[in-house]
Formats: sequence, structure tokens, C-alpha cells
Amino acid sequence: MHFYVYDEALTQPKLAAALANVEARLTDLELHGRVGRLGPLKSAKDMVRQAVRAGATTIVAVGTDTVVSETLDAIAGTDTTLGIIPIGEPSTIAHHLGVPAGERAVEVLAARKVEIIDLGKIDTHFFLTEVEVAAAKPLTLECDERYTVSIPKTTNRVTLANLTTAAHCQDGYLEAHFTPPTKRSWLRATTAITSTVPFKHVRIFAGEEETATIQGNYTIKLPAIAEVMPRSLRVIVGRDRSF
Amino acid sequence: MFSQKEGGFAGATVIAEGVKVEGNFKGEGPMVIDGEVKGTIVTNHSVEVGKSATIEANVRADSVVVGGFVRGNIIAKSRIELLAGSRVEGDIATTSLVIAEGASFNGKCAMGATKTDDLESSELARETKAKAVKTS
Repeated sequence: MHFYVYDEALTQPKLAAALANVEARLTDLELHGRVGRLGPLKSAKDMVRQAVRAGATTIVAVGTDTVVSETLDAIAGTDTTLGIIPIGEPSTIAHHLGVPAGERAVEVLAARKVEIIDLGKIDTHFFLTEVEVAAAKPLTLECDERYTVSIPKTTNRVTLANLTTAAHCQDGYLEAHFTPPTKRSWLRATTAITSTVPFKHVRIFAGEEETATIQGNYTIKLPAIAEVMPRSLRVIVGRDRSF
Repeated sequence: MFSQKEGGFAGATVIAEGVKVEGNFKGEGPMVIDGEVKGTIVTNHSVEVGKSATIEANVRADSVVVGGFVRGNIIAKSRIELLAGSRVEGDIATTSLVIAEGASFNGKCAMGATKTDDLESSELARETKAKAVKTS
């Protein structure tokens, strides 16, 4: 049984036509299910938990990456399957999973090709693709309790990746990427090289700095723990996925 | 055509210039190091030590190419190559060795599969002893 979580952004008039087409296609393919609409007083977590208790086995996030991330927090580590129908931007998560926008996403949902993939977790937040961690001071990573990586002073941000064009989401590892700023001289600009460090578990700290920001959106206390959750998510994928 | 294997990191670990690593640096894929590493470096694949790299560590890999500075023992199952301008201070053991003109090497050299295994076993024994002393 499906449960559809509608993004708050779907109330915008410019997305109304796309949503109507999707709903028509869902009816054509008999992919019925209850609908929950996110709003200022409705959280995805509570909505999804209630739906699962009521018997939903597939939760479909309809909208942008925001609704996908919120839905992810609710179902990570459970047997519930995640589906995505991307409408609006940004939709990078759907792109990496090979799910096309609009009506064609309904066909992917109907085909129901399920993959079990890793998830990343930092603090209490789950992520499927990548997150950027930034602090006021240079960051240090203590990887797998075996070695520490001290990032140069010129770089105060690190990206933790699970699924990108370079990172694979079924290898049991996350990757830390950090790039110093490009050096420029009056002769030429030197291309900066991105460092890549794979890990299963990392402790992130920044000297005596107490907080860091995630994706520029919310703040976490340091030191923070990030780790891979191997094979934690069942997700419906399309043919053109990046893994 | 080729798919990344499940259950193992198959990409390359890259330590760029300016980055410092300290500890038991163990990887599953190839390693490219242009920064600083102190401790030990272990992988079943290749290790490439760039021109700007400073390694104060024992290195164990399938093959090692050195362009920078290494102070420590290097054990490579298949091949060690010291490029022009590289400096190695420590013992090396491998099956195939290439030293370019302009490379600097100060240490003992053991060639052949059995010699590689011997040096690896004695290093592992040393590390195990050191761990045992630490825990007791």
C-alpha cells in the first residue's frame, strides 16, 4: 500500500499542472494510496509513522529534495520502501536514483525496481547523497578510530558523500571530500586537488569550536559523529541511476 | 560494463598537498598522497607518493611509486619505483625495483617474493609486540 507525502512547495500555481498530470497517471496505473500534505503544522516524521502503522509499505515523496530528506528521516533503518516523484527543483536525489521528473516518475514507481542502499548519518540527520559541514575554524577528522586527518587552514568545510557521481552508495563507506581554494598568481591559476578519504565512522571537530553548520541550514554541536548506515534504505530506482 | 563491487571501497584515496594524516592509515583501494602522513600506510593496491609528499611511515602495498620523501620501510608485493628527485630513508622489499637517476635511497634492499614476506612478517611481529606492550 502506498502513502504519498506532498511537498509544501506543491501549493505553488506553477507546479499545479505537473501535479495534476502525475495524479492522472497514478490513477491510470492504479497506484492508489492515501495522501498527506506537509505544512507548517505537519511534520513528515509524524505523518509517515502514522501511515506505516496504518499499513503503508511504500512511502512516496512527491516534490523536491526537501520532502525526500524529511521522509528519509522518518523511514531510515525500517523495512518501508521509499519512492520519489520529483516535481520542482532541486531534485538532485531523484536524478542520482534515475527517477525522471513528472509523469515518467510514475512509470518508475510502477516498475518497482528496488535497491537496498547505504545511508549517511550525521548527528541525528540522515542523508542519501551528500552534506556539507562548515565551521569557523579548520576541521579535523578522526576516521574509524585509526587515524586523524587535519584539513588545511584555508579550508573550513568538508563534504560527506554517500551517493554522487564519484561516491557509491552500496560499498559500505562514506567519503569525505575537501578542496583548498584555487591558488592564483599573475601567471596562472593552479587547479586545486580535492582530497578524498573513505570512512565508516568519523568524529569531526574543529579545535575549541563548538558548532558547525550542515548544508548552511542547521547547526550541530562539535564534536559531531558521522557514520555510514550500511544497507539501511529500500528505494525504488530508475534505469539511469548513477550506481 | 564495470560495476563497483558491493561491500568494499573501490575508489582512490587522495591526500592533497597541505593535508596531514596521522595514525594507522589503512585503505582498500589505490592511494595518491601529496600531503603529510605519519604512522603506517597499508593497502592491497598501489600507493603513489607525489613530489610534495612527506611520509614518515612504514608503507605496505602491492606497488609503490615514490616521487617525494619517505622515511620508513617500504614493502611492495609487486613493484617499487623511485622517481628522479625522490628520497627514501629506510629498508625496502619488493619483487621488482626501478630506481631512476636522481633518486636518493639510504637503506637495505631485499628482492624476491620470499624476502618480501620475511620483511612483512617481521614488521607485523614488531607491530603486534608494540600493541601488546601498549595494552598491558
